[in-house]
Parts: sequence; structure tokens; C-alpha cells
Amino acid sequence: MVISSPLLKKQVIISTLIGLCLLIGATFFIAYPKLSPLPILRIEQPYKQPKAGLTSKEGATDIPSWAKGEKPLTTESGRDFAKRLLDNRYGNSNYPTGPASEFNKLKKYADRHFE
Amino acid sequence: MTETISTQPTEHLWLIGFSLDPDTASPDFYTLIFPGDRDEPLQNEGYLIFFSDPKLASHALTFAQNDYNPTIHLLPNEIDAVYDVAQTLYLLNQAEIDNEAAIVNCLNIMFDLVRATTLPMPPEYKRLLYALADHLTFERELTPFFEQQQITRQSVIDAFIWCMGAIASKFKLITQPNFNHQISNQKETIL
Repeated sequence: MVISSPLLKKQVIISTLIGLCLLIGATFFIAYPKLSPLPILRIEQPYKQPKAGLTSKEGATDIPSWAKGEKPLTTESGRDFAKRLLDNRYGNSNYPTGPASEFNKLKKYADRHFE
Repeated sequence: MTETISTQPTEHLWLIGFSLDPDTASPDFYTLIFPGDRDEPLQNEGYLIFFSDPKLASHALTFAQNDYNPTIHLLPNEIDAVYDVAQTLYLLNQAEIDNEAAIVNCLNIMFDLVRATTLPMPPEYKRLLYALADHLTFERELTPFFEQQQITRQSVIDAFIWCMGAIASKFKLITQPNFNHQISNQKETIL
């Protein structure tokens, strides 16, 4: 299609630009719904959701392979064992201790394996 | 002016979710865990307490018989972990590697829940699942475990499903704030 009229050309360009702006705006607000002026996109989420593909806020991929072969002392609980190893490796209490952490995996391992 | 600073230690409870339906993005139900030497799930009269929405966490605590102390235990403001049961079963069935540690995380929490039910796990199931959990604490590869230990995937899946059944037979689900009324009704029906 050939547009010959200069006025029509101008209108087509403006329409295209407006369309592009709307598309970019919609994409942005769908990606960041909290910033959206439209309430329908601004759904309140009081709890953070884990990232897709991960099973915890810590990433859950922590495998303490470096601790393989370590054993708890006879006086140590699983918790003491995990704390000793992780304190030595990362510094005093300088590591996560949540449900999917290295700390929790080592604690459970020691309680289970050496009970 | 003297300022009083509380020196009482505080501990965050863990809010954890369980995802059963692979087609839904958010967990199907939740519970709270009291972390300690032994991590204890929320319980009432020998039943595990789950709830359908994280907003019901504080409400669920009012029914729990755990040693809850509001000055020590802090309610979490985010979900600490989500256990994807469907994904775990898929990995047990087919995967050669568990890069996200989904299986060992799921097994660890499942052992806590089964212990809380007081139902005795069959020794053979315990042996299989403990051996797998020990292996996956330090390794990501699944195939060497099954080959070296001469354990079949199906036997591990059977043990896993037994645990799910044990948990399912001993839990109460809170779906709305007037749960006390629901419990009363249940008791009347049973009696």
C-alpha cells in the first residue's frame, strides 16, 4: 500500500508511535504490577514467593559436599555438629539456618545417621 | 531516661508450603515449624495442623499445642520453603540428577512430619529413605545411588508414598478463621 498524502503519512506514524508506547507500557506494568496505576494489576502479595524453579528462599541448592566424611563428636547433637562445621567454614553464625540450608541438611544428617 | 532492652533470645518460626498439584504455581497448604534440636511441626492432639493460606498462620498457632511463646517465637513474614511433592516423585521416578536438592529437602521435612504423627515407619522403608537422604545430603547424582546400593526406584517411591499416606491420615486443615467451630462439629459427628 502506498500512502501518498503527507497528512495521512503523519497520522500513520503518530498512530504507530502511540501503539508502541501502549505496548511497552502494558508490558512494563505486567512485569511490575506493583507500579501499575490500574488496581486490577496491583494484586497485594503479603508473602514473598520463592523464585520459580527453586524450593526455598535460600535457593535450596546448597549441598554441603565439602563436609562429606565428617562425623559428629560423641558429645555433639546434630545441631552442634552442623554449627561446628559451618562456623569453621563461613565464620561464627555467618550462614543461613533455614529449612533448606546447609546447616539444616547437616543437622538432620547427623541426627539421622549417627543416632 | 533509661531504656530497657530485652535480652530474651528470639527465634523465627518457619513457614513452609507444600505443593501437590503440578499445575498450580502456589502451594496447596502450609504449616509452621518450630526449629530446634528437633524441628517440630504445628500439632494439636496428635494431629498435624496445616492451613490453606499463609494469612491463617497466626490463627493456626492458637490451636497448636506446641510450646509457643510469643516473646521468643516470631511469626515469619515470608515463606521459608516450598516442598514440591509432585516434582519430588517425578525426580525419584526418572531423574539422574537433583540439582535443586528438592528430594533431600522434601525427605528431611517429611521425616519430621512422620515422626510427629507417632506412626511407626516400616523399618525397610526407613532404611531406604534414610540411605537416600544421607546420599543426597552430599551428592546431586541419583543414578550412582540406585546402582551402588542395588535399590530400585520403585521401592523408594513406595516408601515415599507410605510417608505421604501417614501424614495425610493424621492432619487437620484450617481453611477459615472459625476453625474451632469446625473442630467442635467434627467431634460431635464422631461421637
